[in-house]
Amino acid sequence: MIEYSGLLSLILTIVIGIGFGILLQKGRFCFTSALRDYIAFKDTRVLYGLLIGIITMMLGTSIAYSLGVSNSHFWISNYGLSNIIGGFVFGIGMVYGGGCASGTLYRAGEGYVHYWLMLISACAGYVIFASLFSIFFLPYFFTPLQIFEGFSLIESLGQISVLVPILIILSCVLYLKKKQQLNLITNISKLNISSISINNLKSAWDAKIVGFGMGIFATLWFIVWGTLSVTGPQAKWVGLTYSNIIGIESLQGNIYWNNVIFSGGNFSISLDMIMLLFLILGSFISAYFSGDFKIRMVKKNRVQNAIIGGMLMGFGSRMAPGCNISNTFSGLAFLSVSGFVTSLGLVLGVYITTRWMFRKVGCAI
Amino acid sequence: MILVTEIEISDEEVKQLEKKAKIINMEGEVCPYPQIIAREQIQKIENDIIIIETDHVMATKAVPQSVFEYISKYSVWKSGSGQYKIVLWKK
Repeated sequence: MIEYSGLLSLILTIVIGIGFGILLQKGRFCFTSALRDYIAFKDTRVLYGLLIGIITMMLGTSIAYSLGVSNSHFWISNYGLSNIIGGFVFGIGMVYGGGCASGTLYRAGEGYVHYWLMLISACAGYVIFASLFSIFFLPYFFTPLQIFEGFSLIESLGQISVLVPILIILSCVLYLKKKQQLNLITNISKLNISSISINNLKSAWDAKIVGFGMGIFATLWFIVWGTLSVTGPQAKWVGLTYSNIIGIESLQGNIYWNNVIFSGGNFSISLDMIMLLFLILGSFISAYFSGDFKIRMVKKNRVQNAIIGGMLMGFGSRMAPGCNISNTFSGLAFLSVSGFVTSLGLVLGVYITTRWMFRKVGCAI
Repeated sequence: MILVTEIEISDEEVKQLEKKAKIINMEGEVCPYPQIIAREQIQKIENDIIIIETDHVMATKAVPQSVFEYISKYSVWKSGSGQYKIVLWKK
């Protein structure tokens, strides 16, 4: 059943998956934290790492693209209102549940029952969305909700796309120099390399180094497979499992499973699905050797957070389409319009939910 | 944004500090509740030292930042089996 273009691709997939798991775990890297903790108390630890990751991926993928990687490796969604709605719902879910699509995965590897529950709830969200799709969403999903054809500046510029990230970095430096705020650049680029140490396996890694590593691995993944994404391949796992329960014919008869998730009705295990499993494994290995692994039971009064948060994330990521990784990471790195529009909805959702959850103690922004 | 400095701490020092510190148990809580509880509690507590017992990995980074305006420094003690004690020194 396994389809891969060769043994090398499979090996690279395993290495990249484990690499992502280790990076996310060691950096305590989380998109929810990057946005929520900045809104709540102006914590920039993960946010700077995220920015470095996006610009590294932009530079990396544009170089790979100009060296001959096919433009079919870009995932560029059509866009419209669905992105705002989906991103908004996803943003609410990730703050309420306490983790984004990638955060949920790597914490599942650290032994959190809370995030296992959230993951299962997100999967339930996919099934519900797919079941309701032909009745409720199909009549207006593609029009009027997704009216504009997807566009990515990096993809459309071809060979010269590599100039874009260089120009962005240069103009940021020049702008800050003019504003006499170069210390911001120094702060951002001050990497704590000594945080990565063989002697002290327990130590956490600088989130900015982890962001840089994420950008490099996302570029490798772009060369091997395509666009880095989490909820897409997750939905494929759900579809395959679901087809074993209710029969493959039922899924082939459902336009959402057959045409959107498994495009062209190709119901088989693909490399992106394998990568996700090794991401969880990588996080487990990293947590185990860092002394961070523990089976943590979910608190009774937080079960609702995991279930509601997970379902909102599952639903939102199908609606947008895409999660924080495919939009707020890959989408922004490709300078894709759908990435920006979804991220806008996501930030709005995060902002409102953070203000609500921190209502007793107040927010910085 | 003020970065609060993290300092190293030994097992013995944590034991000594536990005698005079106010201890808050947050075991089982995940984001964003440790941050919310820390912000809520820190204004009420009179002790100069607060020790937060948690098993949430993210809290070791996010909790000290969430109360940065109230503390001068912090330490994270790790059990090696997923338990942490975050020591906060109030200003």
